[in-house]
Order: sequence, then C-alpha cells, then structure tokens
Amino acid sequence: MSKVTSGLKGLDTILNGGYPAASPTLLKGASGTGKTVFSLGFVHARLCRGEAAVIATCDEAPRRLVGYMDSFGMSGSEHLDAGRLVICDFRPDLSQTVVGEYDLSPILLRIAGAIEQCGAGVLVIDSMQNLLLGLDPEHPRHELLELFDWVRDQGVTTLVTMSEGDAEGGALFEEYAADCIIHLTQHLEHNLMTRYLRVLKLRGSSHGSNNYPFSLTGSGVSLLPITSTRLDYQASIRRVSTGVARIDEMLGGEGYLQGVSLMVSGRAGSGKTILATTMMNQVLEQGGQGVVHLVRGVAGGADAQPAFGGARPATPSGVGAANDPLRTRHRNGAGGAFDLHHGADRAGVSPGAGPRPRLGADGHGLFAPGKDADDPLHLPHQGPGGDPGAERVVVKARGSRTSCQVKEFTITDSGIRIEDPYIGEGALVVGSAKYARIEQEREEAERKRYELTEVEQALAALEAEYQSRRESSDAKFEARRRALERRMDELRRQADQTGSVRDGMRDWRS
Amino acid sequence: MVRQVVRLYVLGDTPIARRAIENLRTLCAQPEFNALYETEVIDLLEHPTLAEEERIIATPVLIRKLPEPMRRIIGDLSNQERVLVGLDILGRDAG
Repeated sequence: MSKVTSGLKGLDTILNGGYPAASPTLLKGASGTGKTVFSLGFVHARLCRGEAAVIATCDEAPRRLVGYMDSFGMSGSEHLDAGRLVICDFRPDLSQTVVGEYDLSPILLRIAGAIEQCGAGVLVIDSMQNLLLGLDPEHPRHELLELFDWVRDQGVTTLVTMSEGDAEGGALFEEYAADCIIHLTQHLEHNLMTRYLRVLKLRGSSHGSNNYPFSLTGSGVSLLPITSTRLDYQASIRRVSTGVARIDEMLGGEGYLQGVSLMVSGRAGSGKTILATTMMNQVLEQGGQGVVHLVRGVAGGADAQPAFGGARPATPSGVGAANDPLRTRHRNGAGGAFDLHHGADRAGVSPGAGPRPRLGADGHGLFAPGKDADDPLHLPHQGPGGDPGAERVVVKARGSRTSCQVKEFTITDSGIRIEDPYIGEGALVVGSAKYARIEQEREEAERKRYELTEVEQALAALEAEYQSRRESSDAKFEARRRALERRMDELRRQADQTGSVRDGMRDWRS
Repeated sequence: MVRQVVRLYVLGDTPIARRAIENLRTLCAQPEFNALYETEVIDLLEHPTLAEEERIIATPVLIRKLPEPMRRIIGDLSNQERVLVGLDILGRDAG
C-alpha cells in the first residue's frame, strides 16, 4: 500500500513509510498530548513538497492555528497567503438550538469545496469530537463513516484528531472505520512527564508496535524510535583526541573513534565529570559543537562547565525537552540510555561532533562495562597501593589498539595528568605509595654505592698487600737462587781441581 | 418597524429540507413572528460558498443575524414553540 511521509523520520520508520495514502488516519489522545502539533507538522511536510492542504479546525481559530505554525517555524501564514493552505472554520457555535431532525452534509460540502479550491491532497480535521459538539446527533458515527468513505473515494490523505475519554461503547466505532490509528498519551512518573506514541492499527502494512517516547520542541515533534533502530550505520575511522595526550596514547595514539559511545565509569569523586568536560573542551577547541546532557543534574548548566581554565563553555541543554525520554528511562532504571544513543546516530540528531562521553556511577549496575558502550574507561577509586588516588584503565575500545595498562590518574590545576605507575618487584603501586617506593629505591641505591666504595677499597688493599708480599718473596727467591748458583760454581771448580791431580798421578805411574 | 430577515439554509431537495420549509411557512402565519421577521430560503447547492461564509455545519439551519445576538436554529423546526423561544419571541418559561 502506498504511504505518504509524515514529515517525521522517526514516525515514518514506525509506520513503515508514513501515513497510508488516500486514507483516513485517526490520531487519538487526551488533551495536551500533541495531536494538533502532529497534524500541523504533517501539513507542513506536505506544503514543503509543493502540495496543497486543507485544515478543518474545530478547536482553534484559524488565525491562531497559523500563528502556531509560524512559531514552530512552519511558515503557516506564507502558505496561507499563497493559497496553498486553506483553513475551514468549523468551530461550533454554542448559541445554537437544535429543533427536530437535520443532517451534516454541509461539512462534506465545505470540505469538498475547499479541497477543490486549492487542489489539496491532504486534509486535517482537528478535532472530530468538537466538530459534533453541541449537536448531539442521533447517529454521529454514520456521518463519520460517510466522511471516511468520501476521502477514500477522493484520494485525499486525511488526518483526523480525536480526543479520547468518550466512555460510550460507540467510541470504538471510528477505530474500525479508520485505516490507521495512532494513540498519543502522556505519562507522569517521578514527577517527570513523558509523551508516548503508539500505533494501534495500520491496515495492510506492518508497523512498529511499541510505545515510543517523543517530545514537543520548538520546531514541532521530536521522535526517535529506539526500538526501531537498525544497526546499519557506517563505522567511523576518524579519530578524536580526548584532550589528554596520555589517554590518546592508551587508545592507540590518536584518541577515540568519532561517533562512538563512550562510557566513563567510576565512583563519586574519581574525576568522571572533569574527564568528560576535558573531552568536550577538546571538541570545542577543534571547532566542533557539543551538547552536555546533564543526566543527574537538577537544572542549569553550572555542573557542565569545564572546571579549569582555557575552556570555552559548553552549551548545556540539561533540561531540554529532547532529553526527557532519556531522563525518564534513567530514573526508571531501564538502562537503555545507550540504545538511545544508537538511535540518535541513526536519526542524525547530533552526529556531527561525535564525542558523547557518558558518565555512569560505579555503584549501581546501570552501566555494565563492555556491554553497551564502545569505549569504557574505568576510574576505580581505591588504587592497589591503598591510596585514595585515582587510576584509570581502558577496559575495551572497539576497533582500537588499546593499552591494557593501569595508569595513574591525577587532577591538577591544569587539568588531567596521566602518569605511569611504579612497576617493579612484582608489584604495581600508585599515589603516595609510589613516591614512598621511589624514595625507598633511592636510599637502597645510596647504600649500595657506599658499600661499593668499601669493597673497592678492600680490593685495593688486598692488591697492595699482594704486591708487597710478592716483592719480598721475589727478593728471597733471588737470594736463594744466587746462593745456590754460587754453591754450584764452587762445587764445579773443586771437581775440576780433583780431576787434574788424578791425571798428573797417572802420568807419573807410567 | 423594519422587519429583520431570517434565512433558512437547506442543502438539496431532501425530505428534511422540505419539512423545514413547510414548518417555516406555518411559522410565518403566526402574527408575533410575522410582525418581526421576513424569511428567505437558500439552497446551498446553488450557493456553495455561503456554507463557508456562514460557517454552516448542519442543515437545515435558520439563521437570524439581527438583532444581536445572532441565533442559529438547527433542524426541521418541527417544534414551533422551541423555535420561538430560540428567536427570543417567547420567554424561556413559555417553552
């Protein structure tokens, strides 16, 4: 079946294309749920595509309706002057008396006339129950059915708003007659109001069936269907610096990937906000835009301002209407804040700047690390050194070369500083314990150096003693050798003398 | 005294429209009505823009513009007393 875009990307996703073309769609909801804004948004979307539209108003004066469009930035008076928008005034006259039988065919006559006049393909009736107010018709449903049949015949895409709260059983009648029924509600929990949209029925087409939160903003309806999100967006390969060089290093050198969901977890006081504002500041300095979502703040943006110098203030929109569903989900403990993030990526609400650091307390299990976020950075409060200093660990970073080391994390006047912890002798210490360990090591070295000189001196003494001993024994050896040589010479001479005597005696005998 | 004009708007020649015209005629025969008002019957099929101008939602409808305040009486005018009350000719207690 053919669809007509509703002008809201989120609603088109839920309705699988938009409102059914050439068919009546019923927008039901109590007063204040946003029926009129929805229908004005639809009219605006059609007018922007060069079509013409007819609004049959039964609640508001035509002039006021155009004023609403203008204030939502839908340029109502411009379209009205150009003749593309025709507003029929169907406000009931409460001074009227009813005497006897009547029929409601002038309604059709007037709508048909207006549609013919501007060649409209779109009709909005706001709201149906006021159209029949004060008439108390015997068979009002019959007229409604006639109207629905007529728009189908004419091929006019029609949006009819209707208040609920009609206790009669007959209230269901229009639900059978319409081809698409959208139910708008508002829900108050913990003093926070959230608007919800649900599609009750869409003939001949599939549609999202959940309760989708939406909000009314300065430009109309804002609707991000979380559960209709398809994870088919392109992963980014652009890197964004965190503003802390050492953290960038830990994340592979250039920071985190643009567009990721970033979770910073840690106990109270461990520096989550400062880290987040540092990142935000970095983005602002690079010329990007940032929005600080104050999930835990009450109101105002003081908490969101970067805590140290040289920072341009972020734009806090902590209490902005767009965050209502998020805040409510948060309060309810639904833990789906990250889903909304993916949704935001899809809907293209704030994909430009990329970084969306999110703060989560360690104490409650709302943010299970590694489950939802792409890059959880963990800030445990109690370091292994027993010092209440902070340290940080990158638990996981999708698609990044990540350091798995624990680093020391300190907050100084000039921002965040990351230092290496003391590693040695099988232990890893940070904080004051680290300095104690460093001091201890220095003393140890001093002692060793002292001992070294002692040993050196001993060695020198030993060598000197050895030298002197060798000298004296050399002298002794020499003296002894000489004595022996002398004795040898003497004995040799004496032996020669004895020989010559014996020769002389032999000569004499012979 | 100048008689004011009350107009009866109908849409096409339907049984209800015919009944309303008939009832209006009977009304005109009444002296207290006839003294104050002239009547005129308009078929919206012949003057379709009038439906928009007069902001007509149901037919038949009897519209008295003057004297102020404007009065609208929707229906086939089958109860004459209520019509006269509606046009302030009869007091509320008479109805």
